[in-house]
Amino acid sequence: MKQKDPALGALALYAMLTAALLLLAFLGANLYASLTDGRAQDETRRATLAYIQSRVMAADAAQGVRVLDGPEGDALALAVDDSGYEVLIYCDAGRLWEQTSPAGSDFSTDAAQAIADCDSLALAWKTGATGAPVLEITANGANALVALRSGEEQAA
Amino acid sequence: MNEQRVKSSFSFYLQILILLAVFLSVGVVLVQVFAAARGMSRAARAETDGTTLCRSAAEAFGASGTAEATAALLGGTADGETATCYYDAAIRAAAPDSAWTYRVTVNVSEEETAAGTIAAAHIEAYAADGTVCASLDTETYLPGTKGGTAYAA
Amino acid sequence: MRRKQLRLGSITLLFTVIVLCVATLSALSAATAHADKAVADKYAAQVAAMYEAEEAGQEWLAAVHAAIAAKGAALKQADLPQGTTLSDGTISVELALDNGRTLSIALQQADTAPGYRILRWENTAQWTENTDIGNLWTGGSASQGA
Repeated sequence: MKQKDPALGALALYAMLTAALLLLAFLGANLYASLTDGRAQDETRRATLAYIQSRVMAADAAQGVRVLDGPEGDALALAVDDSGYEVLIYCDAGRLWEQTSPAGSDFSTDAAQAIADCDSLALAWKTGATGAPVLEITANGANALVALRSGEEQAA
Repeated sequence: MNEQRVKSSFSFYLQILILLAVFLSVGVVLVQVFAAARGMSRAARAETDGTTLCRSAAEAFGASGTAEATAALLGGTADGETATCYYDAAIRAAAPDSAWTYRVTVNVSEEETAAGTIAAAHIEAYAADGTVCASLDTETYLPGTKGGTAYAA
Repeated sequence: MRRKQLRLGSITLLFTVIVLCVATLSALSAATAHADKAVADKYAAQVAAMYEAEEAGQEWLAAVHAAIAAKGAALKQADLPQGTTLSDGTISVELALDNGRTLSIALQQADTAPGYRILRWENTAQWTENTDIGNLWTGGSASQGA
């Protein structure tokens, strides 16, 4: 009888350690999955909101920023200097697209480059206290603002 | 015979204990690595969201010039020269008494120039636990009278 | 006398495999989190640089508006900050900062002085074309090497 006790005790120890290690592996796998999901979400947020903000700030010229009706939601048209071309940014089939084409062209993902995953894109104009137009961007449910410095006459 | 059995049990348990010690110590180290990774990921998320919020606040300030007008554009409140706005985890505007995730403050100061005023803003984004996620400094020029209210559209 | 053998057993092998899997997961988790943090830091630095350029632009605007308010229609290039160009009533400047940002501003004096209208305020990143082609063959006749 006494000979069985050490074996049972050792088996119990092994079982507990095995269970602990398996639990650690399970938790580690879940944590890694959540880390990759979080990283993907951060990248999507940077690639949509921050990208559109930066593009508008880089194209801020008189009559250079327009809001149009896109394939899914709103679309942004940014004039490329005086070249007659414009950059169209819009949402289609769950992705955010950027298309450089002659002004007035139709939306075509064949001629566009996919930027990031985007379920929805909404653009709305607001006005600041100084009279400057402010574009409110809503992408994937998150909001961001970008103000246009160009445009209206400022008087002293 | 009994002595041999005792020695055999002792060496068996010794092997088990050494094995347990090795694997437990490795497990402890790995748990610490996991915890550090999780902390770093949360900090990255807070920094990304905080930077986006600070940027929006800076743009709102650029189009407003005052704390009150900035708060109105962002959907927050103003108290003197400070505008405060609250946001949820999806960086949408939230009520102050709700379970907000981020708080953004815009502190405005002004400096008069020859033909107008330069309004400067120090913007900070805080997480719910009070830590600073991101900060930003920006300026906007307001031509004309102090406070920038005399504008012609 | 036979030496006692150390019997590790199949359970130890199982433990080793599980621990290796967990160690791999932890290394991947640490690398993923570190990469995410690095990109977040880079994004924050980029935004800070963007608004440093914005501050420089607003201070330039204040100086130019002071010149417009003082001189009005008699404004000359010498009255404007260094690097500013005055041409056909359009005042423009390219502010290139050390942090890699460029702010291109153009404004026009308004008909009702001392007002102004901003025509362009483009905040972009500087980009230098890499003209080094490394060890690529630059051309030439095949017989030269024969």
